[in-house]
Amino acid sequence: MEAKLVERVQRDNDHHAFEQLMRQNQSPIRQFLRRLTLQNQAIADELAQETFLKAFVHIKTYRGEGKFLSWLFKIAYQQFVSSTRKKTEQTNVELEDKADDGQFEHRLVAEKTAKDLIKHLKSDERAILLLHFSHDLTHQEIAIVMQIPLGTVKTLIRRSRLKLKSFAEENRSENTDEK
Amino acid sequence: MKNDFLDDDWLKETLSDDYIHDDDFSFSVVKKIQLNERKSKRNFYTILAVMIGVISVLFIPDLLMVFSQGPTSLSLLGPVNEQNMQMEFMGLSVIFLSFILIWSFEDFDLI
Repeated sequence: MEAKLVERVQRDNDHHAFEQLMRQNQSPIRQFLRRLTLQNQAIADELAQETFLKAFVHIKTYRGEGKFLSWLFKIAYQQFVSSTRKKTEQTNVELEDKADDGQFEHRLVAEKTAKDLIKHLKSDERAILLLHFSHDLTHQEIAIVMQIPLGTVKTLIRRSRLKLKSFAEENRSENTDEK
Repeated sequence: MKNDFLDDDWLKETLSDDYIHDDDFSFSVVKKIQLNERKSKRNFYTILAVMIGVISVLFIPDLLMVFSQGPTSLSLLGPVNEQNMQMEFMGLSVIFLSFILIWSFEDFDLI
């Protein structure tokens, strides 16, 4: 079904087929970008729109070798990375990495779940965990999406989840101390 | 709550989000696609009009002269004379008309 829609867009530039593809795939892409932009919905949806625009323009380069959604994730991740590069230093801090702003310990008190804690990871660590655990991409697919070696994917996943674990432990000890 | 960050299933469950869907999103992307296509078409037509214009300026006066007075008339052309001016004016008119024609094709989606 999806392959036929892709074919229609590639062959006839069919807007309706692309709209259907968007309906099918918008949720994971928007969820992913919202998490990457630390729930900044406006920026995330703008990036999602740019992702789909770019996908439409370059759809002929998609050869059906992997999942269409993985191909969209690749564009979405590239959009996110280039948008953070373009931002000023101030915006970068806001979007990129809140782990190093010195207020980490204070925020930890209120944040208990992995969803909250994931905000403190670096953007590539966040992306890799989301792609693997939230969107079920394989290591190989993540390597293609993020354009990094397979070995790095495995290392990053392990490192990120260990980081999350240590954040949670710090969080727990903070809460115990307060009591 | 079990916080086991080394448990794949637990992480999958914890990191999953609610389904997002709204038709406005896909509708606005399609609108943008249509707008982009229109813009790129416009650029194409502008380039086409400019090319026709340049060709017209370069060749139409000479061609008209050839058709009206025969091939030998080209060698008789002076640098500036009244007939030459008229021909150049006609060339410019052709540019203008071709530009309007192409623009109207684009505007009324005739192509």
